[in-house]
Amino acid sequence: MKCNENKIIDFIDDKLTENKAHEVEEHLKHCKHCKGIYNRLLVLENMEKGKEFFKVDLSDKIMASIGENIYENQRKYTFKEKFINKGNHFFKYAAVALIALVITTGIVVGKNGELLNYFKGANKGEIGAKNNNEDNNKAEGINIDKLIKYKNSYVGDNSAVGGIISNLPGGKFRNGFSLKTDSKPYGIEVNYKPEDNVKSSEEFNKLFNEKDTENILMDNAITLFILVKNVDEIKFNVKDEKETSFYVTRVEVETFYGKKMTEYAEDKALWEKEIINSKARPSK
Amino acid sequence: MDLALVEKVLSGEMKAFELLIKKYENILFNYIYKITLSKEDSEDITQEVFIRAYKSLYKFQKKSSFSTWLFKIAANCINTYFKKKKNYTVEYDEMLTNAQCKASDKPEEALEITEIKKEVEELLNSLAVEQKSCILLKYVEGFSLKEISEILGVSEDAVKMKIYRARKKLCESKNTKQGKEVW
Repeated sequence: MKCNENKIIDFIDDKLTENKAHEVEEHLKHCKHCKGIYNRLLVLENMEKGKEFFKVDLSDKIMASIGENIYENQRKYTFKEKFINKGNHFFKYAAVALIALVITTGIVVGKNGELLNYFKGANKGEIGAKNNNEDNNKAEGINIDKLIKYKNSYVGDNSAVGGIISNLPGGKFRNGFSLKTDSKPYGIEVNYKPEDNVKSSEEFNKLFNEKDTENILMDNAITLFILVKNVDEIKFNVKDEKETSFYVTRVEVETFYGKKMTEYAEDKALWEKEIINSKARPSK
Repeated sequence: MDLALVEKVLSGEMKAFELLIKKYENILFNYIYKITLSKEDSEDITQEVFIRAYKSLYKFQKKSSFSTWLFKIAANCINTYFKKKKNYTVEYDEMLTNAQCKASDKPEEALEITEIKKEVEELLNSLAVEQKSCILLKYVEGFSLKEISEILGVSEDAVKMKIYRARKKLCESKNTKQGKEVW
């Protein structure tokens, strides 16, 4: 047999017939050049056995860098993901059935000449808009039960402030926050930004739309004033294609409500009544 | 077990992610180190891989194994690293003194194996990043060709070709030493 690298590779890969394999074996006994090739290929094959192995312990560092538990409030999302990932078309079919039902009902009722106006009339848009807003508030609202554990926090408490922001509407779009703690007035500045993908950007724009952004940010600021007892001013930066900034001070908010915001942290019912369920807000 | 941990993380149990880190940090670090040849950078990249993995864990589709998915993120991080660090220099010394010989090896044979290992590692380090990744993923990490193609985002045929070329390069090594009976 002449020197043949491919045959040596095939020999190692066990691709040769018994006779050919025997030929290679015999050749390797006499040819030092091919034996060299064979040895190197064999070292490659056995790299795993003799591999160098450094041991590192990065978990603490990584967990610290990750910081916030972004899946804390994601049970609903996981459920939805499960359905979508497993190719379950339940939601799609349900949506199609619902649309079909609405169309059919509209036509049938329309033929009877009664409720057609309900679908055609001027009120249609308002009804739809109202329902949507209610749904949004439910999904993205302020949940006192989740937030109350942060009451009496201080600006310097990084994790408490982070926890509050994450649990407020827009929390999942939190893109860093800074705390001004060196001297009064103490401040919190939060940036909101979508992730670099279409889905996140769509969700972001749906939440921070032209109509609702200011109210959402004011509500978030009020909550921070209630829970973080020494914060004097709050600034939010909403960054997408354009950047919108929002700034409010404790004095402005407390003047509007006529009491100290920290009082609400001590009285959940009052917080719900005068803030969560009230549409009146300090205007900017 | 990995999938169960992933589910737990997604339902808010952050501790489960720490277990995934502990399971994979050494494997990932060593893989990345073999490519970058810098301990410091490998540490940074390993951290980056886990942070990215955590943030996009909800996108993990369970079509592939968690380790394949994690290595895919690693491959992306490594690409970014080399893009940022165009003029990197490689230091071989630390890397190449790793031949571990068994006590039963005869001194002469042990020396020979050490030399061959050194030669193979030198050749590996001279390969292009993707070629080297293929070799490491196959021979060190034990991934199948299909898994490697998923991790690197190339076809299985491309993976086969890269491995074939790397092995050919090993055959054609200029510094061909004549072989002795060492295996």
